[in-house]
Amino acid sequence: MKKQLLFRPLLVLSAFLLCFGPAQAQNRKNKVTNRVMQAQRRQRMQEMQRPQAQPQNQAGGNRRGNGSKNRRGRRDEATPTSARISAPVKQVLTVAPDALPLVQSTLKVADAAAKIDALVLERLGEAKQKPNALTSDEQFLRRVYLDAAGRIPTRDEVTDFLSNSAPDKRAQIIDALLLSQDYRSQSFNWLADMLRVKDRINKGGPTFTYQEWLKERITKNSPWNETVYKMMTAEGRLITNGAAGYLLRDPGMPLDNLSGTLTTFLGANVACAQCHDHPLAPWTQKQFYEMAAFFGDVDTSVVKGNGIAKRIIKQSDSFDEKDKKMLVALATVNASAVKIVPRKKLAFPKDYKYDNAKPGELVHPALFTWDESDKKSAAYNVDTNDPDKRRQAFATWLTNPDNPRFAVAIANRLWQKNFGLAVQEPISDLDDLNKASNPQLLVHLGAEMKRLNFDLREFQRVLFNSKTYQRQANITPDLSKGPYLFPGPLLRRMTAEQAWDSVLTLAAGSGLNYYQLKRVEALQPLVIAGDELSLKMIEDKAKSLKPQDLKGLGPNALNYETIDGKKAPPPRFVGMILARASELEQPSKESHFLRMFGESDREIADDSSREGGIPQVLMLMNGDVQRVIGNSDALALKSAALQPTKERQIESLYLSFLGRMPNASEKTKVLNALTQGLELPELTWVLFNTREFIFVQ
Amino acid sequence: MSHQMNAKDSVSRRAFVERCARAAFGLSILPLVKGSAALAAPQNAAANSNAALPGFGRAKNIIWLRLSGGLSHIDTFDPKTGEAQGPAKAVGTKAGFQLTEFLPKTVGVADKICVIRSMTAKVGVHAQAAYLMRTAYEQRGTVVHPAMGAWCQHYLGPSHQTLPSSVCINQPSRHGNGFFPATYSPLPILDPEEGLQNSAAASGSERTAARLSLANELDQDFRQHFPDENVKAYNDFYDNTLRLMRSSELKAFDLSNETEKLRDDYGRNKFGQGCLLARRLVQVGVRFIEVESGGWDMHDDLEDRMTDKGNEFDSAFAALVADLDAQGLLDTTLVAVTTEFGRKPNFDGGGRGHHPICFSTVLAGGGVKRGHVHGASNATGYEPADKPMTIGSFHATIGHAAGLPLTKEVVSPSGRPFTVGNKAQPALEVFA
Repeated sequence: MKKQLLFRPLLVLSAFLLCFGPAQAQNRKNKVTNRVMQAQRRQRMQEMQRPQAQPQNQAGGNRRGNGSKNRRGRRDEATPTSARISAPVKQVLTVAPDALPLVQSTLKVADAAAKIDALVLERLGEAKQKPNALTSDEQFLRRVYLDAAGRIPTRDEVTDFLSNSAPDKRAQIIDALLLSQDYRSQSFNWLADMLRVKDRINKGGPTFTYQEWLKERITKNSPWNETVYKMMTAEGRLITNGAAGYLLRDPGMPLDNLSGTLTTFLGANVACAQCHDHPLAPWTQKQFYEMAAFFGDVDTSVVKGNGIAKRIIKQSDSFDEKDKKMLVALATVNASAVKIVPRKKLAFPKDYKYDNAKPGELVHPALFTWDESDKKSAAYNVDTNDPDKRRQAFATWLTNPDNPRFAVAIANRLWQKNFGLAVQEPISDLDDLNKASNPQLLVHLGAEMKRLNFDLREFQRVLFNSKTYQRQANITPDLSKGPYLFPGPLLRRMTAEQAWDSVLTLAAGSGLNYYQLKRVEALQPLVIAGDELSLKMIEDKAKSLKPQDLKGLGPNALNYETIDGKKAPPPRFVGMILARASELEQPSKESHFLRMFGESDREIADDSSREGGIPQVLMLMNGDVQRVIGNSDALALKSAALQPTKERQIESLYLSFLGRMPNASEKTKVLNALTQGLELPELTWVLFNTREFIFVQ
Repeated sequence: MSHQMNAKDSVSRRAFVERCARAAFGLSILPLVKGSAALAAPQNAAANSNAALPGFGRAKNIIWLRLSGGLSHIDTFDPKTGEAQGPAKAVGTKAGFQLTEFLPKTVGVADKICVIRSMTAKVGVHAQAAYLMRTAYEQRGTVVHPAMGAWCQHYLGPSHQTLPSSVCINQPSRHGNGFFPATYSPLPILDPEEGLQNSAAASGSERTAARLSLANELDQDFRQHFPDENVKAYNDFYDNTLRLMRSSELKAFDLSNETEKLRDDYGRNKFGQGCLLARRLVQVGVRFIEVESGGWDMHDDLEDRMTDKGNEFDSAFAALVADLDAQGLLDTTLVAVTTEFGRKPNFDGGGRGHHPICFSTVLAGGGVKRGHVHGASNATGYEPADKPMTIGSFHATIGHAAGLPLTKEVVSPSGRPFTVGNKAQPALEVFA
């Protein structure tokens, strides 16, 4: 009974694979049109190696026509809708059509990576420790896919890589991953956790413009310092200026917002200083207020859409109670804004209790320093006195390459993301850089960030190319016995986003990037032109509004565009939208796989979790995701089922799930189980429920 | 040590988790505390300075009812005459205090409950107020505070071998664990009629067990190669989950074992059935159960909505108190009626606005006086007139009843000290 429930082939999923089909066509098109020379060369190389290296692919079919001819008859009998499904097309990396080329030469990257390795080895040597051995190709590939592309590699991607004999194949795949569509999705997830990205904050307008702005920054590979500068200085309405979404994350709570800014971008341990002098860290409450004074004239208070709607209903003959919802929506969408109130100034709080200022006294902005010598740095060469340019002054200082912490902070974060542990932990406290496990390395990473002009992609390219990254993983170290000196990265459980996107990979192969969330366009009918918003303007707009204009707002208004520009929604399966984590509601609902597996609820920065729990394990064992990957139309399973022998089928699933071939003993065990009645779809359950699947080596 | 105290990163988070692990549900094989014993748990309750005071540790179980939206105190537990009076008249009870006509069944159990009429707070916005009521701390962007169930688990250890120590009904777990590890997170039951999510009967079947054992076999090499604490934690979660799926206690989640009559008495709605499920869970030894009821934000149509919602609450609450008492569980089970804030005294015939300055909560059982009123509001219900009680004090009172060390600090992974009830004093007068 239960088995049937779990693995019954569902028509919905057949449709689902059809839906992902065009993405694969797009893959091939990309190979021709893509102008990124490097990636093209790499892909051609793989193409050449394909036939001899992948016997199992012949059954699967490298060419779409080939496979579908073999398969058509049987599929027709089974389900008419799936007749059009050809045999699985080769699943390989999609290079983003508009990816901008990488800037460093391969030689330069190798050099930079070697410098990092040297610093790590030096510190290991001092401590009389040895670096780990290098990873196998299988370990490396799965790790770098998860870190750079946010998902596991497909079976075909694994076999391509393993059969590639080029000496620089690791460098090649790193470049290809960084140029892929997948890289963007992965980067967005990382940012969304850090910046607490939510679709809606309190009752403010939707943050869709902010999210699409962030994605665009990633797509254009815009420098980090420029991105942060724009967020700090954004002004105006959220609906027309996505960058305003950062300050509007904490509407009406500028102090909380600033506390987050200083912690996230500088690693300044200021959280306590918001309310009192920090007992352990160097910050005083006065210093905190002096920093906050740069934002003294900024107003991010949440718009009372309800109030606006009430007033319109009261004074207008054209509207009554039943229009309230529409009016509230219109008001919030248009009125959420970062406003400048020139007369507004920050004062010390009523309960201020130190001698160095009086309660209620106006605060003069001042930039804080970590060290006396900081003042000499170019970052402090800003005019903090111009009352009209305070925010700009702050942002200039914050994002200046010579800011004492800005470059180090982001470098340290990226190291943590890719090694499982930062050079200095916690990432939220970099006040004393000598506390780093390897201070020289940390300083060097900051310098690298500057050298690369805050190009996060190039920076990670260097990290991925280092031997340090490519070494075997360690288990969680006991830091009470001393710092971790990076003989290799740490073993990590997948993030929620990596796990979800890997599930999609198993279901849809590399076509998983096909659907992209585009929610700003659907809001356009609601947008009121002009800067200064009046009640009258909202009223006028409301009169011209049609019911369908509100569609872009609904909680399920997840408007999608395919990568080839068509408007189409992703397939749904047992209520789940089969699109990547970055292309779903932000954050997901609490009962969603993503949240149960640790996606942050985005209330606190960097709050995603890698912890387990019983509800989570119940979900891994019995949840809907099992039905997606155990469905006979899911790509990994379907490709395996096409293999001529049981052994090949097992190998195929191992490659898809774990990125490696099974060893002889594993093969025997599975063969025995299959003989005793285990069915192939159940093997997807088994592999999914291993620790090896959810942990990244 | 100070390095660890200041740490909020993944590894110190892990260290923190580890320090908490022994109190966690089922995590028995993690290594003992490394380095510091500051957070070693469970704490010895007897070492607590409050232990000799009345009511300490009487409540073995807690049922925390959460009326989200803001219960109108004046229309329920704190009736007023004159301008503030709402649509319902006050009625007397055998306990000597009055309730309103909206709660006829609660009138019948008034002699078993303790009404607190002098609650006071400053937060009048839903989400923030709900957060404050649930944690005794104001919401911040930098730390998440635990709910009472997690505090109990931290200090008292797990309440059951296979079942979770905290369950929340009609709502997701919403950070119930706060800064404690995810293992302290309450198990969510989104619909009491449906029981435990993803726990379909067959999942404890032989077939599942066979698949799981194959998974374990295939995973052997990996687990040997990486004897990692997080990997081991997962092994434990799988074992515990399977044990839970096969345990006879799983029946506790199945309401069909109750009589139709009793199910009717509680009310055939999510809140009523949730309260019944809570009682069943108390019986099998789940320590902390939170049951949510939505729809109390009565800005308009208060009379109609109080008639519906009020009846829903009234039936469930009265049935729960009577049922627990009849089964001899009320003396060891503390039922708390909580909300977000009260509602304004001025009543225009439609509804009432948010009013955190004064509102009511209720405690029943767990060593609390029966038929008692603690504190009072002024004539209009606008502000407390006697024995004002903060939300922190409300938490401290419940924590005291549960036998928690109120003055003991826990240093969160972000390096800040926190206590049950945010350093407030318990109201010892409520205890019998």
